[in-house]
Amino acid sequence: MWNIDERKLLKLILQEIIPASKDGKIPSAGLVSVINYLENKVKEEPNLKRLFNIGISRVNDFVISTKKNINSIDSKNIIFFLKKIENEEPLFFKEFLKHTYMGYYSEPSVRPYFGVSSNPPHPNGYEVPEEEPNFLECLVEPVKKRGICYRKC
Amino acid sequence: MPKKKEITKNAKVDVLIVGAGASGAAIAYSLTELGVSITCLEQGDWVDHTNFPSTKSDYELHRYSEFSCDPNVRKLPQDYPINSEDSPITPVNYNAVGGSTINYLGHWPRFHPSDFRTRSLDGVGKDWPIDYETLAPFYGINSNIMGVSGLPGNPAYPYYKTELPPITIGKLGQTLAKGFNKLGWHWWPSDTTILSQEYEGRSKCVNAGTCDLGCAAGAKASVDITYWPLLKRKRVEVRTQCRVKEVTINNDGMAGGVLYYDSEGDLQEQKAEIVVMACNGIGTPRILLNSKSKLFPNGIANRSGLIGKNLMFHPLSGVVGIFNEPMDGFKGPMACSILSQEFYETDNTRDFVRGYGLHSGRYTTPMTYALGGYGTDKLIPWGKEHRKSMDEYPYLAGLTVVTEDLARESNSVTLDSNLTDNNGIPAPKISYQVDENTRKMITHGEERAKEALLAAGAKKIISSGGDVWWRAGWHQMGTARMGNDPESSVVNSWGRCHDVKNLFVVDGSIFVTAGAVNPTSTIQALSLYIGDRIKKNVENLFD
Repeated sequence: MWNIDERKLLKLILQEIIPASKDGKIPSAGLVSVINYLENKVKEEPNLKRLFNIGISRVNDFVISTKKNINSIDSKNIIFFLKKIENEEPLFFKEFLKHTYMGYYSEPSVRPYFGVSSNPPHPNGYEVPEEEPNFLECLVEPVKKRGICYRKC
Repeated sequence: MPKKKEITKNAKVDVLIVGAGASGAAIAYSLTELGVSITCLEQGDWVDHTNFPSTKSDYELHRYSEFSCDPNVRKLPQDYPINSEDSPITPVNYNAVGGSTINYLGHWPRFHPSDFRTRSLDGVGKDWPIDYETLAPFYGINSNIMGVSGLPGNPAYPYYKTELPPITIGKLGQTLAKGFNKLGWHWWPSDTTILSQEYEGRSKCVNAGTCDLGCAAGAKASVDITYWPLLKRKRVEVRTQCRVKEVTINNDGMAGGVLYYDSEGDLQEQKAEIVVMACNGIGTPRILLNSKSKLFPNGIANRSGLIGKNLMFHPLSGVVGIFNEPMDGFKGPMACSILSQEFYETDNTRDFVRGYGLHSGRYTTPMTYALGGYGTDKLIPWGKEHRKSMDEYPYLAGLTVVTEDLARESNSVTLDSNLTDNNGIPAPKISYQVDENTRKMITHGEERAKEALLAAGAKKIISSGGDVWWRAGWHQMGTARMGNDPESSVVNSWGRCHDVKNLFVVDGSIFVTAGAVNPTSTIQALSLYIGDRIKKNVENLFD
């Protein structure tokens, strides 16, 4: 649906929406899977398609206004443009952000950077050390000592 | 002119229950002792536990589509739309055999004794026609069937036992508990229907942390895997994909049964000796209001005019602390770790009556945090700030302020004049405002939550600033309340409608007050109690 130039530009934009970590270990949102996610979402939902058409035409206008080749548009220009769109097209921008976050964080390879498994939670779940009964009894001891705290009626 | 399709008429049953969720299953269980024929109509279907979103690699996305807690997002064929434009809180639910226990979080606190006596004690709301002691044995029976993990001896309650030891409170719970201890405040490990050990053939919790997406381990008690296997053995019939349109009325003023749409969209009639409504605090008033007749032009059993009125939720707000060490918030039961009831009871030195709980929910998964942080529906920022926020994600621990709502007639469920479900039945419309007393509680609660988090070692606090959460409408109560006076209540002290003596209501609609805790344990205890009273009064049930 989106042509090569549009995908290239979208990648540049996504890299600013969720930038890579400073050390480069955590990738930005400019992943192919995020672009594909957005493209599929737009195909599925006519309302979203209408909104994204507005956004895409604004992006095209922006590229023309810079009189630059896509490859030479710098980060500052993109951030300036995104802030402008955020103010002028808030509905589009909110949806764009929402779906970018959804596309990015549904990518299994991203989750481990936040400590969360790339696997589905079931069947394995997570190891959590069990607390010994004595440990809990000690922890609640001060609460017990203060006595009942409900009203008898 | 095409011939109008005739209504299929089914053989009369003794007991007809509308809704196969928490309360419907509990009353069915109780009434099986009578040895009568029991049929349950459910608009949803059985759910396949092996296919829950938590078994899929894109599991988080399902929270925003077909497994959303919000029926207006889910839009499945069995869902009915809800107009909540006139409310800061929208109701959430799940429609299936098991009802909202399919996607609830399994938190299982009981009501306090004072919750049944708010008028006598604090001069607000109304007293219930029953008390805590009356319900206590039924809390126990229900606990045994659902399987409850918890630590006995909580000084916030009269003593009771649980079936299993508490679930692991985890690093997050331990950290917050130390903060509460430092302040000298009450806290206790959460009671939960999530298993800490194997129980009745169900596996223990694997700490998947996605309880709202269905528990594929079977560790969370949803009634389709607790009550319904018992009910099937007792030959209780459940008819799925059957949406009730209205309760019918006979010439003698008794309920005749119901009209319902089957899975093909055809209208059927089911007659019954007794009709029991178990469709939650929104669904039940919706059906009763839709059941208009000459005798009841404003909805069946509605001479008091109170059906749909006095809607209560638990308005929620949250405060989050950022700690120095990872809190592992995504590991373990989502909503259950520890619960502080330090501010639950009325204290005359405060500027509000009644109280609230501080619930230490564990944290959720990265996408959910990015999309709404702590239930606020506000996206976290983009750009460099986004990365900063997400760097903090592993270090989060939060407290949810769960407030008691006071009943107000203006907070209501009515029928929408335009919106309908896919069978053309008018949809519910919610009109609701957060009470001033509740707002003061939220302000107080957020301040105390900050104190507790700081005492526990938080280095930074994030607060929603008094905003109540939009999708906080899990607990729907009060819309057909119980009482001894037919002028000021819809059902009597054992769930029977004052106006129609073979029509019962057993769900959260009949609550008189809301308490400040998750209500499902009380809903089911109440349903079992009503079943018990029906059995005891069976000889002269309609007198």
